[in-house]
Amino acid sequence: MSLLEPLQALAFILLIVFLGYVVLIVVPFLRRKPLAEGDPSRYQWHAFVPCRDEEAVIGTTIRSIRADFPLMHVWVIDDDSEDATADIVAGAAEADAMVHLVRRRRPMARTGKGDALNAAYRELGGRLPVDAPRDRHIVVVVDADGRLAENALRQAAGPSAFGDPRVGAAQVAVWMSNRDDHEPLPGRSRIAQLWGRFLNRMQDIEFRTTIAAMQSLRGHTRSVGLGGNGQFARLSALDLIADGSGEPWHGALLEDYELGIHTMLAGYRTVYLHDTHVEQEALPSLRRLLTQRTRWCQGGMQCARYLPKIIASPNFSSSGVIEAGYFLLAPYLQLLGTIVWPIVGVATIVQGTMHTGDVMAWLLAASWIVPLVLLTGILPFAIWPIVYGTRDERRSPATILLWAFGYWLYVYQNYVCAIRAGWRMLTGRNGWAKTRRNAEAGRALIAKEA
Amino acid sequence: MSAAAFTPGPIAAGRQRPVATSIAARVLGIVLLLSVPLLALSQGVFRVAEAWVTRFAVDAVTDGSAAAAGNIVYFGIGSGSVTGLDITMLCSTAVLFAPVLALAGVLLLIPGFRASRIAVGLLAALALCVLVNMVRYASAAFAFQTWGMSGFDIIHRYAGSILVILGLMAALVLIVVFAVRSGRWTGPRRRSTWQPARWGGLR
Repeated sequence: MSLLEPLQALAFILLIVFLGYVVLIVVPFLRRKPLAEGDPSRYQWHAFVPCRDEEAVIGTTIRSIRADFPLMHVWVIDDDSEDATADIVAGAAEADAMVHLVRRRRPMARTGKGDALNAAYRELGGRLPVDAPRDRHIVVVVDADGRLAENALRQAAGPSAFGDPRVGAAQVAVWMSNRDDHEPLPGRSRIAQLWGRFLNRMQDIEFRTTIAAMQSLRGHTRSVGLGGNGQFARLSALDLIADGSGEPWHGALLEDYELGIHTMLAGYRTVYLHDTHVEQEALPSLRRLLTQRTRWCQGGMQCARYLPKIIASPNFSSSGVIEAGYFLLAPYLQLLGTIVWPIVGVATIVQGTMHTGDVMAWLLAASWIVPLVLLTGILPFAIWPIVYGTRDERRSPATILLWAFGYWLYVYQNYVCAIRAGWRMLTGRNGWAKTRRNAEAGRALIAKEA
Repeated sequence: MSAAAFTPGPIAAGRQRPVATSIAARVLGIVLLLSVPLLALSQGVFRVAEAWVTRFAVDAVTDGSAAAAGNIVYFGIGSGSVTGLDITMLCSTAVLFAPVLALAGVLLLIPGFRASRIAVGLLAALALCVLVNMVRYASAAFAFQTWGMSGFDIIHRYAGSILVILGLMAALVLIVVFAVRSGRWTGPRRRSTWQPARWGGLR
């Protein structure tokens, strides 16, 4: 038995596990039924908007939230901005009693989004009457560039969401607000615009299909994850988490997914609301996208430390333990794949070439594998743009085919990010600069380490 | 509005007792995990045994008779044309057994899953792997006798590969289904008050 054969067997097994997961997320996603809505007036709503140097967007965000959701308080946490963010928010707060500024100053600022959210949580808790029904107060985290769909509160108030007293948190679908932007990179060349549009579209496909499908499966396994934008949490659930571990949001780079874990460990359910959404900016720059995704991947790796607690918790369902375990170990499986797949690929080509004496002759002889590669290596990715283009953003078959091919290539950035994140974990580098907004992309970053 | 209309409270609030796992389950789990590298190291012997079993499946669908010699299954004996199916390592059912055994072993080590249910799921999954590969071998032999090398290639490379992929996926899902349907176990002779997640439905 050569060394290559066990590696080929391992590559085959990794493939099967991946394909099995794709099947498991596609089926419930395609079969899902819409959720019923509820009455938002039964609750008090609080939008937490963490900000640092967001003068480009914060004014618009506040106005749109207040216009779309008159019932909602807006708590803007200014994390010691160096621009006019705080002044803009203070001005809005003076004019509107439902807008509140939570100011943080260094050294107690710029310590991460989780700390900013905790500051707002304490501020909100301090302002509520002692006898306030905290299970009726719902917090929603909205990024400074985020915009909730008009039915968001009705969905969140529904019987499957906060209408169920067992539900402690909910996550809405995420759409890219600039998915149809024809000039995502102003002033740049036509090729750059094309590339930017491609990246924006791929991110929209990713969130509205692949990630949505994962969340749909998690709805069945009762292990729905929370994201950074559009996460809803019941204040009493946050209280329970704070009672147990000091504060609701903790220090992982994926503080939102971490909150979801804490919510479930505390004995609440998390639900996914696909019938409403929050819009956020996609990143038309590959460099910024890789930075963002590396940070998320590293955050996911950090959250793997919760596996023992998840396994030991009687509040996690059996299928939830398996799903959460797979998700938290997936980055490490990806790292394993980055080692196994190239070795197997190169070794197979070398072995075949040595056997036939000529690489072209071998490639021709091995061409029979192309249909299998299409079926198992490309279709599992290409299926998502097909779903997206036929159900969500209807387009011509030619466009869908282009998206399908493009999405297959796009997902390989996950491997790049897994390698970078793994290296950062190994070298103990946990500090991250915040993702720049597209409106400020032209400016040089000045000491924006978190 | 009044808070009295609500019945707040998380699921299993205040539960302090951790979910349990038996010593027997842990031992079995470790044994299963250790069996994977053992299987890899003894795959030569495994393939010889596999060839011995496969000959029955091949014999049933081909002209002449079939016999095993080492890891090769010869068929068409007495028909005037004898061919051998070489069960290589990558074609062997051992490759299917490995992830199935590993998954069952891991689940047995996770507190709360019932060992008896996982054992049943494991047996069912292993049987499915054997069935799938036997069908593949038999189909390949039949195709060779009927359509020659091109028929063999289609079955071996395409239909057989897809069959094995689907079969292994189904085997892994089978173990998970058996594991999650039992709910989470909190101690000896006690059913958990936790509402078990039901697989396959919308709840």
